[in-house]
Amino acid sequence: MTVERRSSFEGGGGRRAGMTTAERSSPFEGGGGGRTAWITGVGLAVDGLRGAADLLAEYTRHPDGFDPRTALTGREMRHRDRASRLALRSAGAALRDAGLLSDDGGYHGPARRTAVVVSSNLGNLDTVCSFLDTIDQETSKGLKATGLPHTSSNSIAGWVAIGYGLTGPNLTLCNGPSSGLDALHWARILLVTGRADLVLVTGVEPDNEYTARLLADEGERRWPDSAASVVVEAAEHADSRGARARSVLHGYARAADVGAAMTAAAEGGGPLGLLAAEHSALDALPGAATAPAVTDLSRWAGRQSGALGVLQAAAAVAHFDRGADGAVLAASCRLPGGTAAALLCAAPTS
Amino acid sequence: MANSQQTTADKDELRAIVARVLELGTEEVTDDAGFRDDLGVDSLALLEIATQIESAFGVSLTDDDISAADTLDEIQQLLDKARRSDS
Repeated sequence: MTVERRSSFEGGGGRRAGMTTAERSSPFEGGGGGRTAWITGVGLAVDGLRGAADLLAEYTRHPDGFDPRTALTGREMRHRDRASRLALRSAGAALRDAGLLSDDGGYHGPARRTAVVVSSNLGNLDTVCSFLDTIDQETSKGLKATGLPHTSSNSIAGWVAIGYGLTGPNLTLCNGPSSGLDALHWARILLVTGRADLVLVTGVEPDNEYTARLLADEGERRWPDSAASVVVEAAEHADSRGARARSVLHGYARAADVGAAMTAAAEGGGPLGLLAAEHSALDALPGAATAPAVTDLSRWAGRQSGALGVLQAAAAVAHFDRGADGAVLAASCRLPGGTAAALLCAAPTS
Repeated sequence: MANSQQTTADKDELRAIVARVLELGTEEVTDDAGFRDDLGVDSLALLEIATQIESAFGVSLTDDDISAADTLDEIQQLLDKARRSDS
């Protein structure tokens, strides 16, 4: 397998039809100084889970875990759609974990240098479908003005930015199974190109009648309400405020084949400690890699979930938080005609 | 007496509409709570409240009137005025 290395700094035109080789990006190569991207905070809002450590065990709905029935209310949630409410909860938890929130809940980081990147594939499906249902049943006069913003794909990222006053770059990826890992890659691009010093990355998928119906139509299991956020921060910025790395974003690659993507992303990253991917991906690991432990979050979070990649990164942080060694390789599945992605999260000491 | 009962029934329904739009308990929407200062109403929420009142009561409210309203009592007066002009 020919692996083509590609720097984050190269311009467009790098993606070719067919994607027969893996395209790899690393912050350590290419021009521009190579800023290193650390994860400095993590937060979850997943139905039934208590925190990122629960991502390392089988999915169980804990009685004292996050409860969407009670946690998504309050004046600050008013007129947000379900996906945005979940995103706001996980984003707040990640910012607090990173030491970036004041006691009053306000953001005290550099607002203009803080970007927001959201990954969600079906986040606004409920708004779009319910609007169409309303037009069908009541004509356009029945539409709710307060719901209108959520017909935009970027409304989740918008509400997160508004909620915490983050005025840096703001974007949303709706890119299929690789969306969450792609969002983390985009966060790193924003750092290495100097567009931001911190990036709040959130992957989110709500559970509602419309997502349930679509997943059932595709033969997929219904997923629980899920949001995961991580703070991706330039190492020197984290150093300057005394924050420590919880993980280091290392290689990232996309390829038509998950094995090629994983091989390229894992290159030069040292021994693997955890594979955050479907169990079948174990067979496609680079030959030299020892068989690591596997956490297959897609079994409950959904193979096509836009939250998946960020949940995998959160699992990596939980893995390192408990002192485990070895890098974490996260990979997304590939749908027919689509592309697989892989991201290596290195231990904070490397 | 009939008018008084009508007013109370109207106000309860108006209170329910405002509470539903603002995602608050009806007990928080008191007769004289300030929409903007106490309940955090913005222009979009006010538009939503107006639309739901128009739909529930079959009246038309002008943008100027609804923009000026800031309490449940004032909304009630708007409803009475709209009914008179529609009749």
